[in-house]
Amino acid sequence: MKFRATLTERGCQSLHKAFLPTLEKFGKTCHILLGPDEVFFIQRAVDADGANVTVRFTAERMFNTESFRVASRHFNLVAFAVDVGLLLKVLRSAVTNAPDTLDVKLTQCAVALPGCDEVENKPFLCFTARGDGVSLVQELPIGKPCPSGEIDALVAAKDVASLCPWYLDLASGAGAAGLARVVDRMKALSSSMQVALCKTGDLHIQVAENSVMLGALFSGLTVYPQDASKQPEPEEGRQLTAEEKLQEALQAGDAMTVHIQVKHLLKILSVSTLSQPSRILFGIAEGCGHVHVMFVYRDPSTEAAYDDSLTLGFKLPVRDED
Amino acid sequence: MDIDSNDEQEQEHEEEEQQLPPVHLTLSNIRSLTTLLQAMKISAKQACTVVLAPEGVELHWADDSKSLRSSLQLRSELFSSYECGPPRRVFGVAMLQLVDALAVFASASSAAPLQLHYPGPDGELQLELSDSGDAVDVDGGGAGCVMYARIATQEQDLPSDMTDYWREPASYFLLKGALLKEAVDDLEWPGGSVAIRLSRDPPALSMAAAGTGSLEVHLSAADLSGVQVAEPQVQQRYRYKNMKASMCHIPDGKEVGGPVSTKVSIDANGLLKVTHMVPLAGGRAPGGGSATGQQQASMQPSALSGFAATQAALDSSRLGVVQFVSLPVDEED
Repeated sequence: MKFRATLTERGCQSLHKAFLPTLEKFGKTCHILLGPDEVFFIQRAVDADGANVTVRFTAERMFNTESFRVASRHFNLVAFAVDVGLLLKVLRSAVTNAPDTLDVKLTQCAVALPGCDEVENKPFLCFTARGDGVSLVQELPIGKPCPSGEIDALVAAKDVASLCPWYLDLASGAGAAGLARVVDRMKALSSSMQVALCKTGDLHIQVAENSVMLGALFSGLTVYPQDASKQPEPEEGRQLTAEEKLQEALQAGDAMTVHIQVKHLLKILSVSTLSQPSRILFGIAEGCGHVHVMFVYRDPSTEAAYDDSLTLGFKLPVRDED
Repeated sequence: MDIDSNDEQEQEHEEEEQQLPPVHLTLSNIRSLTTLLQAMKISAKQACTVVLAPEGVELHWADDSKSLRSSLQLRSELFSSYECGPPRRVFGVAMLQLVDALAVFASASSAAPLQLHYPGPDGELQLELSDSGDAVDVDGGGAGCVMYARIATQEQDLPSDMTDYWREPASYFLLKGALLKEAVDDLEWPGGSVAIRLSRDPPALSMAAAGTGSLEVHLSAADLSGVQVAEPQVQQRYRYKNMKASMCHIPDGKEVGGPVSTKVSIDANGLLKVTHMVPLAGGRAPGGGSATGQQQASMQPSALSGFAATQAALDSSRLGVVQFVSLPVDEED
């Protein structure tokens, strides 16, 4: 089992400025899954209070390709758990004190066990930062590298089996900040909420608790893919209430609805400010088994509609319908 | 509450029971209502009583000990549209839920109009806020946010009106609500009940509390106006909890249409009535309007001086009113 690489400046920046802080908001630990083409940071439901969080980088975005080596007996995949906060500290320290280059290597060190004479080989990620005549070495303890069964489980956990039929962009319309403000206040009323997505670009959210039912309709959101979208019916002569619109859309098969935890949606909206995605795609899986949220990024230096080298995805559990 | 089903039978029954025309009100700025509710600052789970009357909207609440009663009043002129024919509707709603629901609405938009409908299909109170705002979608489409809420109501009578027992002669004075708030805030640290002492000649007001320490706050005559003292000296004690509830939660003048002015009255038996007049923005053009009652009558400009006269001259229909009535206590309980 082998891993060594030199981080690109861009990769290092993305990690310590945006993505490690994002992961930290969800949980203390994450798994790093390394392969010849891609690097994943994965938080499973048990790590992230029910949500499933995956950050994916292409290898060339994260590492200098000439010096990047990863090898193992299981498809050259290497995976292990790390403490997100500690990793973040290591990167910040490297960037502050010796910012020119940052090398990382998977190593084993003999560590004395406390209270006895034995030593054990423990795995570490060894970071060497260089800059301005300074060389800084930091050793980050990590979990034991995962056996092949666990690697396969991680590979399965990191992806959704298939994309949702359609997605609404929460960053469009009135914007994620406005939605976050409303959801934040709704938290006071209930811990779970009903979310409905309509092909017309309408997002409905509802909470109900004791003697209050409260709902909001955010209209004018962009639908992806574009051919899934449906023009809203012209309203002349029929002033429908928000609730009536939702019922009609559900009956016509133009909407999907599930119950999710308010805290999950709120966390997703709040971390979006850390990495500034250009689109926040929110979708309900076929069969309403889960919710899939994708942060899509734009590379400002290219013409491309979106940056393929980087994605952040969330998979949220849904509550069984009553 | 079953949100999605449309129970036809129950609806018909409700309609039979209430062949009354529905009430539709629009408040041009939701802040008018949320500010007054904050001044009442009720965190208990009890229900409060809502009155929808042709003259305006009232909300009444009495605390557990029954020694404090609070109410707010929004006259019909403060609404941008007001459809409420007689008779007046009286019902109870859970106070906390109403406040939480309004907080969600206010978070979506600070200035959008709030619509109120009663009754809904299940006899509930329906609220709606519609904000098309200035938001324009990146793709150029229209974007908007509509919020709605349905709050279940229950049958409830008005809590007994303590001012039914109001006995003249009463002593009273007017001052800026903020001064009163400051004074009562300071009186928190000694603990114990608060004694209010009013002297006639020269006009003076002091408040004192003695518990783990003692503190006396004097308000100068220059801060007061319209002082009327029934005897050479009037002194009464009140629970600190009631004083704080009555005087310390008023909004800052910058949050509303101007500084809050407050009238404090003590009747012959020691009942304490604190009336805050909160200037609010918005509403329809000032009209004649019927007199609201005793507190207006005693505010004739000729009887007042200084800023109070200006306050009285302010169109009374632009004021939201929050009022507290407390029972006195005997020496330290």
